[in-house]
Amino acid sequence: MTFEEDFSHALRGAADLAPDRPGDVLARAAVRIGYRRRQRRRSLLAAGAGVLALAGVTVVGVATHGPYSPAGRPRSDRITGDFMLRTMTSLLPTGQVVEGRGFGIGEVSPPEAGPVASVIFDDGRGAAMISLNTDRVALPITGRTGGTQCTDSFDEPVESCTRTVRPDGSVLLIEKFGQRNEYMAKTWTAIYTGTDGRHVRVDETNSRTTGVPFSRENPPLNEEQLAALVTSGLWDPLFEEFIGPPTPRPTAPVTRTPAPLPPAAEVLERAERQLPAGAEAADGGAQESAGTAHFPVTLDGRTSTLTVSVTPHWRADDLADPRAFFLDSGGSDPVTRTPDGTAVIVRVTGASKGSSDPALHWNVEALHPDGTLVTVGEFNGDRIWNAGPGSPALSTDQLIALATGPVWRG
Amino acid sequence: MDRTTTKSSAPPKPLDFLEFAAARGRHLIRTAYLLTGGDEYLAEDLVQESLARIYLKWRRISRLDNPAAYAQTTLVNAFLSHRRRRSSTERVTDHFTEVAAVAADPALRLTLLQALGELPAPDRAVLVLRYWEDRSVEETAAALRLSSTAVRSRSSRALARMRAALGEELEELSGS
Repeated sequence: MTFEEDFSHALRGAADLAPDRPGDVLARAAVRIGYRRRQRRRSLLAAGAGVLALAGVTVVGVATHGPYSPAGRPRSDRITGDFMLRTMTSLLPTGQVVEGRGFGIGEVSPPEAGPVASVIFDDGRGAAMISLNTDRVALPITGRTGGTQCTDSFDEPVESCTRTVRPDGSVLLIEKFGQRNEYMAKTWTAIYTGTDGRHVRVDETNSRTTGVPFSRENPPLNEEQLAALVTSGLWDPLFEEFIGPPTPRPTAPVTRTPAPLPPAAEVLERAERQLPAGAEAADGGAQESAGTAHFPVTLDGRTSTLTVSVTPHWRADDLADPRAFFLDSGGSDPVTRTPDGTAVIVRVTGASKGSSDPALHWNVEALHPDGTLVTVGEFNGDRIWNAGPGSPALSTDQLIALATGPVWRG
Repeated sequence: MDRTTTKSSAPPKPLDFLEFAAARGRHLIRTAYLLTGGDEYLAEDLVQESLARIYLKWRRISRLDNPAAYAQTTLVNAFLSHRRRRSSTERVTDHFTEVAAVAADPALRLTLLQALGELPAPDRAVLVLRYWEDRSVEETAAALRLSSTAVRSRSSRALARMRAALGEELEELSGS
């Protein structure tokens, strides 16, 4: 045997020492990383880029808004990318902003979205991503106001959640999410919802991105620092100008209050009764959120997880015509109607809402004639983030039958 | 129900990314492990980075004659880019990262990995493509954007260093 042949054999022996990482784990993580990278790229392309030097802070390689101005919302002279980045940087603890981007009113896409800023921040223990988003929510703040309730641990790997209702009725939520898998970063999130409808959200990771390689053990800001960032009065000028989307989320107070959600146990019991013949439901564990149930179901030897959410009088508290809004929300997915007038949208998506290849999530949304919205989701796996490809237990028609049954109406 | 659907009219997808990545992931990890001289953490990072890059272009890559070869080349380029980024901040050292010990013939295989790790990155890539991937000189040259002459010269030089480092141990290591 020649030296080259010996060497080739030896390489194979050495390669056997490589870690035995399951291929599907690598594949799913790559999809998530790739998808997020694509979204970031689109966002940056939409907003443009420039260069800004900030006074009083250490900023290296900072970019802010460019000339792009999406149609439909004029730019602000005051709430610019400069303002966003300067204000965010001033609220960070001692450290260095090594990269940063900010986009003001009229500089983001879609045009009705709130101003944003994102930095790579290094406190000396590893550079990490911190991003800040703003929005306005409909008033008054209720149990259904987005970002005011702790995330269900069925949906995300929640490690801790602190929800504080302040004396004025504003809500501060601080959540710490563990890794969805060994390739995804930890994410700590703070969301402040003010009584004026302001919504300030900060997400930080223990990486310069949302995945590997990790730059530190935990994200850099602690709970107090996160709270200081989202609740600061320095954001007041932003919300003096940013009135939020004109429709369909009015900022004016509404008089209607949302109907209470049915208890999770009730949703679970009704859903199990609606299963097709031969399908067997198993214990779904703790059911943390009102109006929602999740459980494994087996049919013809295949097991998938079902999620069922029921919302009576859906969006009646903040929309003049929820049904018209629903009919318009199908996008590329067609809206169909059952003979009794229930509108149905079927959505099949991949690892994320923007990905359809391969199919991982089968969802049916049904708006009943009485305004009750029923959403039935199905995926293979025990948690949403572990969804795998393959034929699910129930067919799409069976999911539609489950979502459109009259049992859900009030 | 007057339901319509557009799902059935969608054209068939030529090759599923998840299936492809799941099938090729193990081989890519092994390749990366050799390229990095036995650094399993870096090997996984490089494979993840490569698969994410491939995912972003999957619609086009899935229609290539040999997506697997494209993936291997992407991995090698990711490795070389990583080395180039690090080279400006690296210092010469005689301390090497410890590689986890294994039960069977660890010393010989680890000797090989360490010897690989001491080669210049482009030389390592040449050896891995030629003797692990079984690519021809021309294929290796195309993948690394080198001339065939450069591949032969790097291959010859690197093999000489491996021979010097491993000596007679190689016969034992290869099982011959």
